[in-house]
Amino acid sequence: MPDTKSHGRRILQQKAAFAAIRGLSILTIAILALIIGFIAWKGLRFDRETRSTVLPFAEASPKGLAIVVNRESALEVVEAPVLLGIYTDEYINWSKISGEDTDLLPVAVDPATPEGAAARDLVFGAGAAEAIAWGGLVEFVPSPEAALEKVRTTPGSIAVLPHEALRDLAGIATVSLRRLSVVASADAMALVENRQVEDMDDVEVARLVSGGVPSWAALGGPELAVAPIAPPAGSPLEAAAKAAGQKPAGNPAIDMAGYLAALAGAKGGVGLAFAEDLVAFARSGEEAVALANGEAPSLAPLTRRGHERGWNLSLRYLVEEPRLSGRVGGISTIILNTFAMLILTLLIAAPLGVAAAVYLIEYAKQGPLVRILRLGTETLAGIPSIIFGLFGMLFFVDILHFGFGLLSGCLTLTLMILPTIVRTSEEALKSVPRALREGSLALGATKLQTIAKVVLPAAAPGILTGLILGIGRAVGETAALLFTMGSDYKLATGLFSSARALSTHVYLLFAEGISFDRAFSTATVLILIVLLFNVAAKRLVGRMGRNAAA
Amino acid sequence: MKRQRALEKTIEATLFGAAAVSVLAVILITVFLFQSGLPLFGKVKVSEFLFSTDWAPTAATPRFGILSFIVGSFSVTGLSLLFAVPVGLAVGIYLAELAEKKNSRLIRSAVELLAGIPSVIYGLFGIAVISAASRTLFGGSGYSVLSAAIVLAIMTLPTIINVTEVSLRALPRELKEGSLALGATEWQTIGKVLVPAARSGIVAGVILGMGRAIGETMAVLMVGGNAPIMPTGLNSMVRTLTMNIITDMSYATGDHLTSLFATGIVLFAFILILNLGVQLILKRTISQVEGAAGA
Repeated sequence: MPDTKSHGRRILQQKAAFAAIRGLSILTIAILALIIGFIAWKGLRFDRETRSTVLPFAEASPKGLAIVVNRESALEVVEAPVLLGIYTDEYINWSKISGEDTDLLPVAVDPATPEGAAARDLVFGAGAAEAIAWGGLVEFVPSPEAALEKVRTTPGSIAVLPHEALRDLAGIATVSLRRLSVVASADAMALVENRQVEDMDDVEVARLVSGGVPSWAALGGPELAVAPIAPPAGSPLEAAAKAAGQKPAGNPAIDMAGYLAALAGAKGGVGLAFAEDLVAFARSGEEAVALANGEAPSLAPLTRRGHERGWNLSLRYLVEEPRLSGRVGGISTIILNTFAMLILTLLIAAPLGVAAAVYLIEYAKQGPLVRILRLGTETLAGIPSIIFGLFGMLFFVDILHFGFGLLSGCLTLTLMILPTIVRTSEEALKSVPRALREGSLALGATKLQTIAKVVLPAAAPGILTGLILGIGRAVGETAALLFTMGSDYKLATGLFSSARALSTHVYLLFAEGISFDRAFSTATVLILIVLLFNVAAKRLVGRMGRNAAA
Repeated sequence: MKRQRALEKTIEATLFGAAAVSVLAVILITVFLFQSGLPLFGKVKVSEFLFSTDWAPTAATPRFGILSFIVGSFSVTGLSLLFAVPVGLAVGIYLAELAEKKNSRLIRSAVELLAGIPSVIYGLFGIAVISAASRTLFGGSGYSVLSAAIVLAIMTLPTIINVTEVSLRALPRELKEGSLALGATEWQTIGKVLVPAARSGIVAGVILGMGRAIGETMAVLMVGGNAPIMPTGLNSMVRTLTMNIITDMSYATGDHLTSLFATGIVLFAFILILNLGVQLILKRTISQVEGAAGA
């Protein structure tokens, strides 16, 4: 029968349509979960690609020495080339090393003492002492005890000491050292026909060192056989290589002194070496002569590609002040500024919005006047934030001379969120039953008393919801704030002081190219605040619903 | 008694003052925007400003043509609606007609949250996910009309969903019951009776969403590429009116600054026209409903 056939088709059509509708509804939730999840994930964890000439293997006590820093420092691991840079004035500040805005003070024990000489050899490598160029910042002290005392009392200081000098760890922290490098002879590293050995990851490094790669060409280098040279048997280098998980092949009978020279001399040679020995080798006689003649260095460290992962959003980030445009430090003052902004906005917008709603519901007679007032609110609600920003800049900043600051920003925000507050307050007032008003009036209360003591308390949860929705919108605003509230990330000291809010900070961290990781961390804090407001508003709506039902 | 009356009068006047702030703000915004932007047209012809694509405000002979940005704004907004309207309609229908209570509560919470997420965060998400995906899929920089439109679509979705749901719920029950009683399937009822009946409300919602999208600044700024050129395709970089204002605002002076306010006037005019459209449509709907009820 044709009728059942078409009926069947219609049912099928309906099934397909409903499935599509369900699917799209689930898509909405998926999008939300993706956005929040992604921002939170990037905000909490960082995963950066790193390039370095040393392997990630870190020694707590290299050569029986310890590297110590002041307790304030966030430094946990230091790479040998950086340690060398610290003692040769390459760095004057910790910001590039550990992200702290602290001056750097390298402390060294007098190299004439045995302890000092050992420390010097760890930084600069062994060899002729007179060729070593200490940085001008370095402060020399007579003994390890004096160095320890200096580090304990001076933030930003660092020293290298014998491990046994660390009797008392109070006020200091120890730092481990990464100094194991992969080195190759110059012919392997040369630029041949526009090809050169590329940076390699851990797997490639391990295969290369253990002899698993036959030719340098496989790594982008020249057509040259790889000649792995193992460290001398029983040497500290061999121990370190084993500890680092490398399996160097072969067991040639050479001592430590001849090892690097053998590496440099081998055709396509590759092996492991301590970074400071490379420095010493570069300073040594032959190498210096070769360099002076304009020849290429005969040994070069390979660059390793790796990933650095860790926690991004730490407690430290929340409680520290931002410095250097947010490059270092945290966001504490920005969080405080944001809350100051919200409170001030609320102080202005709440009375204004509620009063407007009370007038519209309790006093105004329906007519053209009310229609105009409503139209005003509707229009204001539709104006984009960038226009509010322009107006705020023209009116509050320039004409009223408030300047870029909290007050200008908050007044602009007030205008933006006023429609939300007026509309929700109106709804809340409308939902108060007439009987309540009439009862109050019948008891002899004036209209004013009725509104203040009966109607407003009854409508309070609804009004509060509107306020929360309003500041929820204000906390995420950026475009209107950039040109009214300014962008100073220091703690606002008054109504007229320029202040940066969280949302502005997120944007500027991105726009000024400062740090994506930090932008995500700040965004996570911002999302948490928005979520908090959202949950609060929902709770209130829920309670209001129950009250109405009762 | 007299004092009491005087007090009541003062308070009423104060409350009226508060209620008038919105209207006053709209008037002030209009006045100041026009006052700061109109002087440009003493130097540049209105037609040249609106219909030239030549934007070189800092050149030796500065040229102010914003056609590219108008086209940019509308292409990004239009494309975003193309994505957002079907999804928004579907979710609105689901919430109003199909969902069980538990599911609808879940989806409604999600929609509310989507509406509450700040636009810089959409921008950040757009850069890291949407632009990156577009870069691998379609090549180029990934900062494009398409990326901006996708971000905007997600941002306008809540408006369209809410209005669709509200419009469908506002329909009289008899409409649905009548259709079902005539033997129509549920889907036929939704597609042929309910949605057409709620059409004007839905259209108003779409226009409202369009207004939001045209006025959006931060998110499109972060994913649109911001090149002051006429967009040539979906994968072309784009600058919208809002981006044009915020990009140059920090350093512009003289005529350049005035031209930014003039850009603001154009944006403001578009928004006002859209808002007026919404008001008119809603008003017509209300009178229709009232008329139907009267008859």
